[in-house]
Amino acid sequence: MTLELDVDGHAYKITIRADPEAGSGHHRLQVTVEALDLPKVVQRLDIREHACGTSVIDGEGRVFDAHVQSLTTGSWIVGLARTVVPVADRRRTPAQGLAVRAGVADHRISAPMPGRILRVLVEAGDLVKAGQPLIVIEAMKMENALTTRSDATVHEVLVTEGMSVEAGRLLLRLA
Amino acid sequence: MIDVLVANRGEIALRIMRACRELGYGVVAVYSEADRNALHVRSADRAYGIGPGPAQESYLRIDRIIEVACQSGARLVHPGYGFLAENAAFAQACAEAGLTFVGPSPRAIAMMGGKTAARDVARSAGVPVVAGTDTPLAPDADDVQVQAAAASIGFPLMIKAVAGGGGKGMRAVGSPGELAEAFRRAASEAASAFGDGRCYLERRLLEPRHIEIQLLADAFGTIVPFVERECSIQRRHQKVVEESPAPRLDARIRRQMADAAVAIARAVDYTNAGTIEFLVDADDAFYFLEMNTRLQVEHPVTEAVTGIDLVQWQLRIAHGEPLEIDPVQALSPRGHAIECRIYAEDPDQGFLPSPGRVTALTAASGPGVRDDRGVEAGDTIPIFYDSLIAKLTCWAESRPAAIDRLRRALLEYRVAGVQTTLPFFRWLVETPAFRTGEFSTTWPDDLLQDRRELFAAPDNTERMQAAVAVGLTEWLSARRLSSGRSGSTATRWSDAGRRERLR
Repeated sequence: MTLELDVDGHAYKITIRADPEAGSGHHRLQVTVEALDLPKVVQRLDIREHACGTSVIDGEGRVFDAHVQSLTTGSWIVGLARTVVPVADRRRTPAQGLAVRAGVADHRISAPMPGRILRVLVEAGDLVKAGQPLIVIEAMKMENALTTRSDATVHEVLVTEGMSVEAGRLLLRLA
Repeated sequence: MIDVLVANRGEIALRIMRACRELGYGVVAVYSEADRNALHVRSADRAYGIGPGPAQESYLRIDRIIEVACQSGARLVHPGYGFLAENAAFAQACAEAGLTFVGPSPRAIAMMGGKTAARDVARSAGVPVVAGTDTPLAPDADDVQVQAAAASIGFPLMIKAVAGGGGKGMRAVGSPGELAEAFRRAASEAASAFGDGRCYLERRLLEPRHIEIQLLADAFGTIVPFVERECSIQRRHQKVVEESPAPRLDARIRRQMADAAVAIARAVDYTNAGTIEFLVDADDAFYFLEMNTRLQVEHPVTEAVTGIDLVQWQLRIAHGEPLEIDPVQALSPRGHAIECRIYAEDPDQGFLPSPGRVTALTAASGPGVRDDRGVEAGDTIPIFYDSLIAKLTCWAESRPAAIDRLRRALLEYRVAGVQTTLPFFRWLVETPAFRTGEFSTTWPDDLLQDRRELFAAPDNTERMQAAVAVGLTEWLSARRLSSGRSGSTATRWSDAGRRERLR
């Protein structure tokens, strides 16, 4: 099995097959990892699934534990000990996994949680700076300002003040 | 058996239920429609629905809670923190219904709960207060009124809800130009959070520390103050890390603050658990900030360094017992304790709430670790309430050892399905200022202000691990599918039968 993945904005190619030297073991795999700028890695892995994820031990005895959560077809969130990594299938939905997680993709501002639109602070055509509040959404008793990470122009405003929105609802398009 | 009705939800409901059980009391829970399947309901002996999800229609409905309390036969009502915990009308309604409210008298709540009245009490008890407006401003006060009030105390200032708590309805204002908008937002937030939109203005000290004194008071005039808690690490005026004892506080100042706290409590014939909050400036001068007439979120750090169970004592005091605590033990910390409030918020998106289903959860444990939690794997964090998932408290012999232990425990603690503030805390414990204890209430907001990088940006190893993990998951599920297809005819028939029954 071969997968082409976008891992936190980096391209990875993963090839997996049953370990030919592992005999009857069902959980021993040979995994080839190819990433841009990094040397190709071939690993023999012993994997086990448990209640909270997958436990992996590599050929040198190193252990890691991962919790893979499927978001939509072809996009995942991987929880590791220290961090959370967005992953997307490059052949299916290029980089969309990032958008789903963040609520703010490059050119789309969507509702990170269900709530009510309290204020719309911009209109189409406005130039906005990184960090500038665009929309104020009320949820969990708090007012939360949605901002942009980079300078942009507001292309389209898709909601009005007072509207109730579901998580993931597209609110603004930037250009 | 005596039953206690817990008029709250989440981790604090569980904390109270534990104390009840240890004292041999039965436990009655209440729940909103959004919480029918919540952990606090599953943990109770009996449970009663009190209305729809929004707090105004359930956890803030005094009439409904009194009704089910009477119906359940509970003798005591513990309000926890938040919701009705500092509502004098609720305490009064309990008394009128023949229920024992686990907390102070309605009179004490009313006097100390109104932030402006509380300042008067502190002043008359000889305790200094921060300069501020003496009469509350109505939520619809016009700009001229608000500007006039502000001019009398000067900038920078704080807008605070008269009924406030938890950072809600609170705004820092640096200049007159920001005042009108900040006042309007504070008032509207206060109205929706507390049902009271009135606000007042207070002079803002520069680089103050927030240090508070917990106390217990019984019905016989005994008041015991506890070693201080430092709660300066706040985000948007909401405490996120609390510790005891304070990292830089002279023992002499501790004694003075404890005496001041007792004087204020005595002035209102205070009973049960309460906390006097102070702001301490760079010269160790302290000013009364407000009194919380209830159990505090951060009470576990005090329990950790004194060995005294505050919630058990709340129940025992309410039950009419005299305090039997060694006052020296209460004021002499053993070791050091630090608490982190783990919220369902995304620190990489400006701490936006991240409600939803917790798909997996592994709590930290081991020596010196306490986990107060209201959520298990599979539970949903509703949109209606505070998004606190758990409080992680670490105790060790010294502050540096407690930080090391906290850092270890933060790596053990894992929550999947919703974003949490765990990555923020893992970053925070590594900062030099946290180590040295040289921070004030404006840190880490100042530190976060210009921060653009992610709290836990994955490195090359982690990206590779994530890629491998996704590959393995896909491989395993493909293998499960193919083994399903190649099953025997008999298996396929029984599969089809099972599917049929599931329809």
